[in-house]
Amino acid sequence: MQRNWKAGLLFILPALLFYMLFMIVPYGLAFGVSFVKWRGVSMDMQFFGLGNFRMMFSDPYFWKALTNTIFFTVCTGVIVPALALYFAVSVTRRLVRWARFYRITYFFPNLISQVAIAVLWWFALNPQFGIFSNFLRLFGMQDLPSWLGDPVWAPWCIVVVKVWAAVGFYMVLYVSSIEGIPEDYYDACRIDGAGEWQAFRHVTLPLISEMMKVSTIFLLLNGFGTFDLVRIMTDGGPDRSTETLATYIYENAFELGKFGYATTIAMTLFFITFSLAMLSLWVQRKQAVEY
Amino acid sequence: MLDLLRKTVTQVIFTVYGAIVVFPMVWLGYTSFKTTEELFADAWSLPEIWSLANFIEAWNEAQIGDFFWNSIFVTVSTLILQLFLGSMASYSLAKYQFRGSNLIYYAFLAGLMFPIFLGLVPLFFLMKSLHLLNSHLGLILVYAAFGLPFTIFVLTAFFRTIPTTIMEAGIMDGCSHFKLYWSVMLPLAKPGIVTVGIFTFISIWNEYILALILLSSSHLRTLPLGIAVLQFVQFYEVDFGTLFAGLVIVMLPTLLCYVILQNQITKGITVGAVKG
Repeated sequence: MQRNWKAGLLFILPALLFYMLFMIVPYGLAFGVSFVKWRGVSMDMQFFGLGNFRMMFSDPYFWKALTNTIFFTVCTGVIVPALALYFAVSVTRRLVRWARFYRITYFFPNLISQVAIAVLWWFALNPQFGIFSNFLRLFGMQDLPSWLGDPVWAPWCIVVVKVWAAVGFYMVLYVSSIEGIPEDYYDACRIDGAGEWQAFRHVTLPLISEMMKVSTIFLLLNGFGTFDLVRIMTDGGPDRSTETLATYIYENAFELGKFGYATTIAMTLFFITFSLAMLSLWVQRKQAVEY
Repeated sequence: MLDLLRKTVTQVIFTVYGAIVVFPMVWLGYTSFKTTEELFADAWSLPEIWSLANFIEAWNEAQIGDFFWNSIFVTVSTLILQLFLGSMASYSLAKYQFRGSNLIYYAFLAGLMFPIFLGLVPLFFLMKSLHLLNSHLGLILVYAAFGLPFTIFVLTAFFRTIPTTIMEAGIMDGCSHFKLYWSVMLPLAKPGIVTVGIFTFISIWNEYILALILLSSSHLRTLPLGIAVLQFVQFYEVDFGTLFAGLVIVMLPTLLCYVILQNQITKGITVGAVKG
């Protein structure tokens, strides 16, 4: 360890200045802005106290966006880890052939821009030439809905695409964690006559609990931050059926110029995400298992 | 018997999901050579003629070529800036002990937890008042700053694994602090730098929301932003061939990078997550 604090500080200073200016300052300001009425035209801000929050609570679109966001977060929060865990276990425990091939290909969607994923699926879900409708037509299905143009189906389409985009990443996370478990434990399981399910239940699951915690936080942040996919595939429609808090914030700030109000919603989004993250850590607070 | 059944079911599920992942991309790949009329006539068919017309039109008419070079410029500049600032800071956080260094470390880590949407509005006006709005320079500076928490998180962990004795030997030989960092420690941290570099490349290449807010002139657009605008326009003009070709152009670099550096990337995810 070096104790020359001048040299040490000099090394950090450039990064710290950058970080303060472009991250800490905007985030800090956000706390102030949510209490003002501000159209952004000039620096003319009126103190609005809790007015923005009162406005938000009586705004039906805010509630719609909040429910949709929760819907997307809950759906992906359940489906993604379940699928990813199933894939990860099958791949690492050699329950499937060509495991390496699947490990590589399943990760593909995570390399593509969310924008490209959104446009790709916007094509694939096109009721005329999209592969999805055409695939169903192969089985003689007619009178198919217009998917992204249908307020009942659109939210489910978003969920499917979100899952498609995310599973590979979580699979790789879980694989890396499962590979850290010594093979001996599984040998012991076999000798005791335990099946694959019991090995999963009593060895794998407890030993990857740390990773499950990490992935819960990721899923929360990702779910509540849903923006790119929705903005491009449906732009919140039809009839606001896919509007999320993030798209609503964007709309208010950069399309309607209600900067103060947008920041108030962003603040609410932050507090919800933050408290849910803390809550999930508290629920999963059990000490990490180490046999 | 039951075992065989279970194995078959697993295999079938993997094959089906594999098809769901890969087929849309394959479909996109060969459809990008079809004309829009062909697409409407038969969604499945291969192109009659494998013509590059869509790609040429996308590259020239739809400005995808310009967006491509914009993306390259922004991504490479961000990489250099972010890795330089981040590695210096990480080196210091890992190897120098002084009051407040822990606090600084945690302040950087906190940045991983903030949702981007919270800072968006103030950031926009900050950039406006600094006259950095609607410029590549502004975007690069913001990207570098937003990437610092992750860079520092991974690289500090990495520098900590390098033995301190190497540094002490350098000091004895009369190395300056900067020379020690630049010619001794940085080369040793290369694997960590490469990992962070790949991740930064992928995430900056694909970034959308910050570019959307900070850039307004069409000639400055990066690829994701350009594609998003193109989709919005094509929606009314119904010329999908160009858009298909544009999608292929934005997707290829990261996919190629992955296929070539597959192991490095998978390892990187582990480094990033396990240490947390």
